[in-house]
Amino acid sequence: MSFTAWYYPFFLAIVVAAYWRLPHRARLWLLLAASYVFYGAWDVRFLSLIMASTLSDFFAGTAIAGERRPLAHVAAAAALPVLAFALAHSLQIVPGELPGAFFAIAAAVAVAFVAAYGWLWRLDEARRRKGFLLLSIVANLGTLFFFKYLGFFVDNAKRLLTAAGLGGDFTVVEVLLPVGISFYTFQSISYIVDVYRRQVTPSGDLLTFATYIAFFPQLVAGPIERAGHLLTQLQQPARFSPEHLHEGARLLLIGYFKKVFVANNCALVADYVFSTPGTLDGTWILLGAIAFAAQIYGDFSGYTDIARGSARLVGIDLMHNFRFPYLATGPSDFWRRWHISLSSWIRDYVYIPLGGNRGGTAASIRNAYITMVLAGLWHGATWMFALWGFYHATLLALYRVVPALGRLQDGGPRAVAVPLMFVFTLLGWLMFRSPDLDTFLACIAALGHWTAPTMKAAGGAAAWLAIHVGPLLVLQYITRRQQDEAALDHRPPLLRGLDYTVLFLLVATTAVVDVEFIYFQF
Amino acid sequence: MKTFVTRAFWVPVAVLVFAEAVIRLFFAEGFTGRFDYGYLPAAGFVEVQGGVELRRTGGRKFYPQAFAMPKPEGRLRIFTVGDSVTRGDDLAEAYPAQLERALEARGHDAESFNLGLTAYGATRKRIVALQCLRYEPDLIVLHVNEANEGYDERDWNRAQSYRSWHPRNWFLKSYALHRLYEVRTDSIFWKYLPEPIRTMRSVRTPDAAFAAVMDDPATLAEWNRRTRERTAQTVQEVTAAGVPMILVSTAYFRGKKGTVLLDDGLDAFVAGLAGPRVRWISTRELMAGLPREEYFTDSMHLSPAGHRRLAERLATLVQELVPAPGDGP
Repeated sequence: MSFTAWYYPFFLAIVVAAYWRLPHRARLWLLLAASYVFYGAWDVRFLSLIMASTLSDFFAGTAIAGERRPLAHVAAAAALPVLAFALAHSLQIVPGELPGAFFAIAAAVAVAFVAAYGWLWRLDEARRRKGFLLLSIVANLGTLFFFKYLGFFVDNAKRLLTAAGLGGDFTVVEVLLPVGISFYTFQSISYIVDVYRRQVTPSGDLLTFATYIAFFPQLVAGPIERAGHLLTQLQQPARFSPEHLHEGARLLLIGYFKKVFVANNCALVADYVFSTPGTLDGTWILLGAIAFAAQIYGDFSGYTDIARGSARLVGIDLMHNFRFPYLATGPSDFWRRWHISLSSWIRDYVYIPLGGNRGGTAASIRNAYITMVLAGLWHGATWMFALWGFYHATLLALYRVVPALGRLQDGGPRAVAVPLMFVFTLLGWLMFRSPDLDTFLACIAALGHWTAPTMKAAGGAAAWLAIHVGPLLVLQYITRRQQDEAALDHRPPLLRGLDYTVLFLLVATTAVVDVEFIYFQF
Repeated sequence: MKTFVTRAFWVPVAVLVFAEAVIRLFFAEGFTGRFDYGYLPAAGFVEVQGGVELRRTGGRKFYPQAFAMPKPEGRLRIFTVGDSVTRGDDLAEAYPAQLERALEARGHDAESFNLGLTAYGATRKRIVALQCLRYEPDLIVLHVNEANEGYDERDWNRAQSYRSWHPRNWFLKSYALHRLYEVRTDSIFWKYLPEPIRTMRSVRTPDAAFAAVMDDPATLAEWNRRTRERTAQTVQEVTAAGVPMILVSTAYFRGKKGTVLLDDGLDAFVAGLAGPRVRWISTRELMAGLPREEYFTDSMHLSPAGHRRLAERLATLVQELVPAPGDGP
């Protein structure tokens, strides 16, 4: 189910209305059921993946804490996702054929998990803790690899083998990419690592833990939550306050404004430019890059606001994910403002374990490259995303080794630092949005050609962008000293009411509909 | 104790309720039929004391005109029903007004009204023509064109979509929001976005459906078939009411710099509808050999000189169909 589906507000209203009338335990059941309905609306078969992730991390987490569950329980739980997958498929809830290999692989993974669970208890505590950590990470990353990266690696292996004259004419089962798999997989991994590090007490209650993994507002596109933040909120019964409704409604309004008004309308220009880059010149490519910058920010930060608003309505506070990223003074600053839940995840679970800034400049630059390329690939299994990550790592390295750039980022004149970083960001978005290297190179080549007739023809598109980005800039100006655009509490009630009026009118009267969230594909 | 609803929340509620109330109380006339997109028969015909005013209202943007009811004794009343070709760029320059002047010059006490509406196809022209029958016409001129049936279909779907109580339409049930939506679509989407971008992603379902099929040969054939069926129906109904007609078939230059005027088979179809009470004019024949830049503004629309030439030809036919008082044996 998408936040922009016409029925989502009804779904949310029913959940919220029922939620506050129920006792704590029943609320969790309600949230879990709602989350499974929310996710199952896309493809009910992939609910089995969320179940599998939930169960493997639950048993691994409790095992790391020394709590041994009967093997029969583990076996029954491991069979559950496989059975759910088979049931969903046999009922033909989703049309289409699936090869038997899928069931065989799923059953083998379940059996292997149960066997490993039983065997690891034979080890001493230190090795057992590490073993369960690895078991969980392998299960999570293995699933992610299978569904998201297998095709990528197979395609590249085929090309290499073909180029080397060693064949390459083989087929491997093609798999659909489950919506949001990168988000909930990373959330699961952070949980198990935090449990291992003893930063979080593992959940002993499967219902609470399953709700934590599947919590529908942030299930498919984040923010990627930490157990210490979200799980603890789910464990404690929230007390109703009208404040939840006020803040939730405001976040929803801001989120829909960013998504429906800003992102969907800017997408028209961006989609056009990136579908025909070879026929366009510098004016259009620049417009396309700006349009995409506005689209992806409106789309993703809008999604985050809707997610935070939806969660807030049931008394849950999700983390901030954006903080005026296009006002960044440099690449480090940018990543402290853009997709904060991912960048902090990468920092805590990849960059710092690799050594972080310890070990001197060369080591930290190496770590930055590894981290950023992985962050790029997190977005999708293409070389363009890897290139985008590599590019951002290069920016980080440049700002580190060139003293003038470093000074510019850390206290230099903002009038220079912010536009410069925005130009670097636009170049990055050209890579990110280009489906392949040829398209990207065509965009770069086009930037060298500027013709007066084209500039005139592009004037309409520029006006269209100005009309749809302008209100966002005004909103950002109003909230420039706040944490994000949704923080309007500092405004007097009358002005705030007028803000709401304008935002509502812009959303309710927008013409372009049915543009899917960009980050669902990740 | 916090209240469920904040003071700030009441501002948009108050603004929207106030705007809606003002529109419904004071501008209701302009909105009646506004979202029927021309399918409400009486839209634009405002009956006032002593006559009827044609206005830009109710979803029809007629040029402002007026006529008396009942019709003054001895006056020849002509309604010209058409699309943007009939409408022209200026009421006084378009051929219905020039027809009135030409007839007056020939001794008729005539009044000729321009009921040309941009993007109207045969379906909506029929509705307008039948409405004209209520106002004592002596003649109805019908401009036949195959270019607009798709717009008729799109606007029919828009009207149906608006009538539906699907939650998607709830906001648009408000006159204020619906009008704002239309202003944004017409004045921003269509005005600013270049055509290649518009065709990639259209607005709302009826527009998207229209954009998706407008180049489909089978759909175009169906629209052309429908144009002919509805036009024949209109001719049959108008003449059955005892009102004579003149049909004008449109001609087209294909391509931006096309020099050959084509009728796309429309002439043969229109000729087939002709009879003692139905005459016809072929634009292709009328303008054959004349310089395009002098008589046309684009591939189809007429310049003031083109309108004048058509008006003169019409005046001649009108005299044959409806003799002036004192004419004849």
